[in-house]
Amino acid sequence: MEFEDLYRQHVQAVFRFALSITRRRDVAEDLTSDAFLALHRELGSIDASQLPAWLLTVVRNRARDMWRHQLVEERYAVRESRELAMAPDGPGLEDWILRSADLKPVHRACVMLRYVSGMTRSEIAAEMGLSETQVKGHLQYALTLLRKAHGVRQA
Amino acid sequence: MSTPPEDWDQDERQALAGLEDQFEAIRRRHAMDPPLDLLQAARADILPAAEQARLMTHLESSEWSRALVDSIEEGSDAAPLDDVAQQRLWTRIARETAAASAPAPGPRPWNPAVFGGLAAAASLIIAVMVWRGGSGEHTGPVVPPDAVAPATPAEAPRVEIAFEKPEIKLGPAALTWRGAPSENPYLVDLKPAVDAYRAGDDPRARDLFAALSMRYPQAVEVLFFSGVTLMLNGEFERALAPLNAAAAVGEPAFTEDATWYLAVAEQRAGKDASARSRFSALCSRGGRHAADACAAVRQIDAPPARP
Repeated sequence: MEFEDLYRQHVQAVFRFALSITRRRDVAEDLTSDAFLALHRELGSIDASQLPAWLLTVVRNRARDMWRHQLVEERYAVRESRELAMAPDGPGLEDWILRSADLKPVHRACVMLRYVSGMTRSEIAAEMGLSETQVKGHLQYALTLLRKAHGVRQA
Repeated sequence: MSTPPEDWDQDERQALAGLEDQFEAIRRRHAMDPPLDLLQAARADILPAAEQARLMTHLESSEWSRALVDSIEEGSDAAPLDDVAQQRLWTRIARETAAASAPAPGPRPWNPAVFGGLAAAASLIIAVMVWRGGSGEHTGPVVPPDAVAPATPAEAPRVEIAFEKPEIKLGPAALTWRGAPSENPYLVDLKPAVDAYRAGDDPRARDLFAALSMRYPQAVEVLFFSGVTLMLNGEFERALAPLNAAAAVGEPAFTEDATWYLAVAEQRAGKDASARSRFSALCSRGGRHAADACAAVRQIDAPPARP
């Protein structure tokens, strides 16, 4: 099978995997490109039956390389030390966000990202592969549930 | 990211009236949680071992972080590559495979008059790092004879990212030496290479730094300038190993420079995808090389000019 055929056959699987481990489309595209370039170099020694597993391994290894360069330890060490100084408050709202059976994962994620992580709707949309309109709809639904659960009356 | 609740719209303000304090308490409680991208990388098991272990410990103990990662994962819509993106990616891959299949160009002398712009300064720290195989360079990809011909013309001119010769920098191990320089064997050994470098004798500087890297494989400035002098002599492929090692030392004052020159060396060696990834990270991270890195990404992404 020719290289372009292999690309057409496996690119979606490779990209989806890259996206699943990086959560960023631009990075996922880079990793996908890297994987196919590696495949091109090794085309003579790779059996088609090894695909797409071989490509996914390249993606995972490239993703590891990427993180190795990002001074992860330093970023986390500072945060961790400060985290210890934060005294936890009572549960209440947090408990509801975490455990409400009415919230689907997409609603829970939108609420956490919007009202706790402080993301804009467009940032949430990019993070989750949704449109801004979808994000707005999920947030409205979640807020309706929230008002009911906590007995907050609308002004 | 914005700072809530300032950017909430009217509907949100009404819906959350009376709950602001509780949300504020949750935000305070999780303000110092590891960032989302780190949590997600840990979940994907792609972090270096120490960080992976630390982040997994956090994920096991923090129901909030766990729920955040899980909810995003389950609630996301991983839209596939559309036709346009798929074709764009193919064009990029084809361009690089074309470059890799083309005959290797001879060493290209570095011409300082052509390039402008980057300044390097500051002092550095010599950190401990295992030399990861300076002689393990790639001799180029093996392209089987039946490999598919690239979709873009092989003769399309390649973009070449410009770089400037950085100034010599010494780390604290050298800078904090309290005795006479002649009493420090490392400084004594370093001096001829530094002198050649400053005098513009790039081939001699390359050879001297290469020799030093055998004797001082843990010295970040030796690694860095070994790579740089190879680049100055047009040996971009060979520059990758020492620059990689210099970047991996993790010395903050060195890392950004090493990553920048590594990215340039990769690009000049025909590894556009990897180079683009590094330029993209430098661009989004900000810092001394951010503007040039952003420009480099645009250059790489630009469609090849017609001959």
